[in-house]
Amino acid sequence: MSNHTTLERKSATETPLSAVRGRLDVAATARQAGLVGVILVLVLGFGLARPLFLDGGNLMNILLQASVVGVLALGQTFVLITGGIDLSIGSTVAMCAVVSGLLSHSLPVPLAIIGGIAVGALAGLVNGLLITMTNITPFIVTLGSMSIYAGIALIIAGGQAVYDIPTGFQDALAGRIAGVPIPVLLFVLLTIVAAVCLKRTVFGEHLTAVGGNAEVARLAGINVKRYTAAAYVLSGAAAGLAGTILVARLGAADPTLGADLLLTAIAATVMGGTKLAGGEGSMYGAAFGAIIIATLTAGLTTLNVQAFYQQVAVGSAIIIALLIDQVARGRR
Amino acid sequence: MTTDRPMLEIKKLSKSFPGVRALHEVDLTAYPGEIHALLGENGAGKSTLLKTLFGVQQPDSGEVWFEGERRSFSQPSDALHAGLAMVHQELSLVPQFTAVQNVVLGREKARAGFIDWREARERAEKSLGRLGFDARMDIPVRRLSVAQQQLVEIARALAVGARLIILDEPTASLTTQESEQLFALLERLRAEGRGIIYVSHRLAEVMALSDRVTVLRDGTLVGTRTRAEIKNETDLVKLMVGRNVDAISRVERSEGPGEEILRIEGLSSAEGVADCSLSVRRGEIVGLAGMVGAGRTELVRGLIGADRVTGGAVWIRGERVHIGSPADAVKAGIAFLPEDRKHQGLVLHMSAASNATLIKPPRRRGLLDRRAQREQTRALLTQLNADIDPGYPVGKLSGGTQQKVVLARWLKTASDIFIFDEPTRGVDVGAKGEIHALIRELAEEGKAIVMVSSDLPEVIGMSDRVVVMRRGRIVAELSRSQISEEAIVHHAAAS
Amino acid sequence: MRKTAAIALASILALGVSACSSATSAEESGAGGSYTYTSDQEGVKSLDGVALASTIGELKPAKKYRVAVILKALTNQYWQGIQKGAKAAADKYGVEVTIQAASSEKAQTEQLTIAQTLVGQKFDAYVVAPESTSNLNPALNQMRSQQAPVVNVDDARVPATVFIGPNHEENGIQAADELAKLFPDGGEVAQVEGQSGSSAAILRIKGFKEGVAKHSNLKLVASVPGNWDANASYAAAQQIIRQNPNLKGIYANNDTMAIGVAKAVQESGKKVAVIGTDGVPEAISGVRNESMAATVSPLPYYEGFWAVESAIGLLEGKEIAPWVVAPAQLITKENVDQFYDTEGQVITDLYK
Repeated sequence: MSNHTTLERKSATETPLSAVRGRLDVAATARQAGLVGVILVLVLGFGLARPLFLDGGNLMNILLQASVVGVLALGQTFVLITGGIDLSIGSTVAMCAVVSGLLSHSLPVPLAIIGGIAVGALAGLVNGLLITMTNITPFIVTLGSMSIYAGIALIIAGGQAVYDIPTGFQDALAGRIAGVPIPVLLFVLLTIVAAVCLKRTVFGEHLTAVGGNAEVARLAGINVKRYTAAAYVLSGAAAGLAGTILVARLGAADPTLGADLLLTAIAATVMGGTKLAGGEGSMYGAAFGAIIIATLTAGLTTLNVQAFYQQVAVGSAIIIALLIDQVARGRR
Repeated sequence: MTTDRPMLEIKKLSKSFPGVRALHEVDLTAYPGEIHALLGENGAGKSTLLKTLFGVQQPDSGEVWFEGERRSFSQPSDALHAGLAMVHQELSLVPQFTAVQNVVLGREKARAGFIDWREARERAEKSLGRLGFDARMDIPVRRLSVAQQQLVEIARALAVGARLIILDEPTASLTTQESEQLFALLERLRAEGRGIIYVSHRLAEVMALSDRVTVLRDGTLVGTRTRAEIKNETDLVKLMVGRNVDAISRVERSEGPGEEILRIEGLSSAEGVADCSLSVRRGEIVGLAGMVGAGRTELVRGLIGADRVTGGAVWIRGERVHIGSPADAVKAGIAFLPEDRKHQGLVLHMSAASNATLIKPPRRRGLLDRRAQREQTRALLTQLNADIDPGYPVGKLSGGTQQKVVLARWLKTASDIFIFDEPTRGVDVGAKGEIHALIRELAEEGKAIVMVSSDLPEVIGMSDRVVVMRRGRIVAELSRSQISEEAIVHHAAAS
Repeated sequence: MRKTAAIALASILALGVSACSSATSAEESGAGGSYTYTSDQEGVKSLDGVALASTIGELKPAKKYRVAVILKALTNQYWQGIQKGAKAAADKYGVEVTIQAASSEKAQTEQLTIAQTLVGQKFDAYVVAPESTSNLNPALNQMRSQQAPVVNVDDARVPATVFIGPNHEENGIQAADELAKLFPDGGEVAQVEGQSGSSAAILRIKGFKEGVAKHSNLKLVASVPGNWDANASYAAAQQIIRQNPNLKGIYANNDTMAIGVAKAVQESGKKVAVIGTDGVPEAISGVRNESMAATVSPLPYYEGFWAVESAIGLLEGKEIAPWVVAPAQLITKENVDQFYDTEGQVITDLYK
């Protein structure tokens, strides 16, 4: 546009360019630094109480325990960002575990693994289509599919665990590379990929807009339904991968697997700063959340605190994390 | 009809929002046994006045006296307990409750811990019966007509013992017959000595019903007149619009409009738009005027495929186009800047950069190019004279800058048609001028512009042509020489 | 864009699959050592739990051993009984015992996390009651590579040094035998089955059917699912009683279901003998007030006690059969006071 004399007036109320505080990227970095701080405090605290806790093997073990929940939390973050929720991930884990376990009996290992993940993606697609094609809320749709997928897992497994998983399968997803368990490597890599996908791709940008305000996104010509469905596909695929990792680790595919994973994954996600209302989320936050929960469980077990109290501790951690987040936001 | 002792006295009430002075030292006095009309254009400050009176918002200064006592309500229920009731435009009943349940809501009497429904029914029947309510009291109120629901709401106000009842646009969705029944009821309530404040756009009703009229304009009091002082509707129109129109100076165009860019024929939509036809030419600004609820926003939403269209056709540069969704509209080169920026224009917690580049985020090697995103946004906003950090969440920016971010989004596209819906609502005076200049400049560049606005000086100052809508239809088209405030208000408000 | 992400995902996957096909499993066994881990194989030698103490002989632990006990969930009286017994044994032999459990009987991965954390602390011996037959596999592999003895307690059977648990099949047979004893002239009997897929249910169903077949005058007229659930079993029992007016007895695969069945019998006004399994306090009082004829109880307190006792025995180099059978006691009105106190708790000095 050409210059025009009518525009001399400057808006006096605006923030000057130098204002770093309040910038979104700065705020996100600060929140993640806070989570890393929490992890460090927990590790050092437990380490002071039980020096054995700081053993490299133990710390790697914590990451290993965090990896399955972490992968699920990454998928769940995509869904929560759209303002939805995926309650079916636990059942999807079981279903994909059984499918990949059965496939591994007859197909080459890579195909069995991809088959498991594909079934997860398909399960997510079914969720996504039901949510976008009907007016039923994500909570209800995935509550229904949670039960359906759990049933399907039991049906195809005949009610019993699938055994005789080839060692190739177990090596592929539960082995070690340079001393690091493969689930941990996958977890770290996927966290980076998911974070790049969310913050550095048009897909992530549009997904965030859809969750932040679907009407705005629609008026800007974004296909809201397609993006929403895609989030569930990603969540389902993540559950599929989590399922195949568990099969490899356990050497068996149990159709009742995964019942305790759903709420832990959601807890990790919200602890990381993802809003249930949608439009805001962090992949690194979800990963750190999963690590915090695993650290708490391992640390409290080391201190011989019973599971009942551990539940109280994890629950308190979620609420405290969100309180800190809120206070930090309030200040801005 | 009026007695000497005022029922409600509002003294020098002021209220400002960041960048906007919504009310400035407004006085209003209401007497028992009086129907007092409150008039003003959209944005004149009527709803702010009522919200401050009822404690939805707190005034910056000023006093409220009710029945001789100084009052300050912190929430509407406080006002209700004091004897002030409001019947809203969007009724505030519990839709799945029956008339009886709604009337006694919050004041149920219990016997042995259980609600005494027989007593409740008697109480509700008494107050509803008096109002001439003839529908069933045992079905959910959502199945009643709007007029009947309104009666339930009035009955509830009376059951609580309200002495001053304020009705906000009560006839907006009533039929003529229902309106007349309501007027009869209001006259009865007046005879009982209750005070009534009546907010309406319908001048004929005001003339027929009210004892006195208070007119607001731009947040200030124009004056209060008795019915006898007003000769006809034109007097009222003058009071409402009688400002110095030179606030926005009309700018003569360097050249006349070019060929037709957009043509709409017989557009109807599920949201009440009926058989609207419109044509916009290159370099032309067409103002779309009318009262709130006249269907202006619905017309443009139908055009861009945001609402379901039930009939009509659209041509762009002489070519028939099918626009089934906003995505189609974007492809067809139509830019839409919605009225409600916070809910329809911007993703508030995303950055200005993300918002400005939402339609086509810049990428490099498949990934989003954050740096280009920031730089493009910064360049666009600098062009629009908004010097802000593009990484800042857009929700924290002022209204004017927010509007510029939305505008920046569309400047990046190859749009030939720009639709502005209330482009300067909630924008402070300085930014308003800038946005007007920007719209003019777009026109100079050869864009076809449709501008929905309730701000009459804006419509008059900016438009080359004004189209007036009423009840979903286009009722008048005013050429440049025909445009005047009186003409627009006349067509928009004609009953 | 989505494509880029998909390609990235696929390549990571491919990396995971190909690059490490030769790597050994991170959680694979180190093998060897002085302990065997074969208790889950079929046909292993068994030993009656009651005879355990005499088989081991005198135990004077050389040092204060550390034993980790990983249970299913302490929300069930059965597991609380095991916890009590384990503590009692630890006190008796002066060893340090750490008892941890998951928060529910469905929390498979949580239990694995707890188990692997404990394994990281390198205990001398482990007692495990896994949530499923597979969920603790990586932890079990690590225990094996630490060459620590592993004692498996009821009910999922995993490869361990010693398994301590009831013979579920035998439980079913015992129930059938009791019905034959109650009705010497024979008659019609029925069964309410536990959750399909559960190994305990499969074996008890099988045992009861075999037991009934053994007694030619007993006739099994119905065997219906009750899903370990009192309500479902109540409804199932009502149905069975209505359809079989001459019914003499019903066996429910556990006590929770038996309590539901007993209620249905009571409401029908008929005399039908109800037998359950487990010996939970409610069932014990049922036996006492005669709403239940009997319950087959594996006495979980002793399972817990023997588990820790076996672990110490193994550490002390004693030889113990891979299956220590918890003697399922048939608890009837006649013998109930012998095994349970008035609170419905197991008497803890039965086998001294």
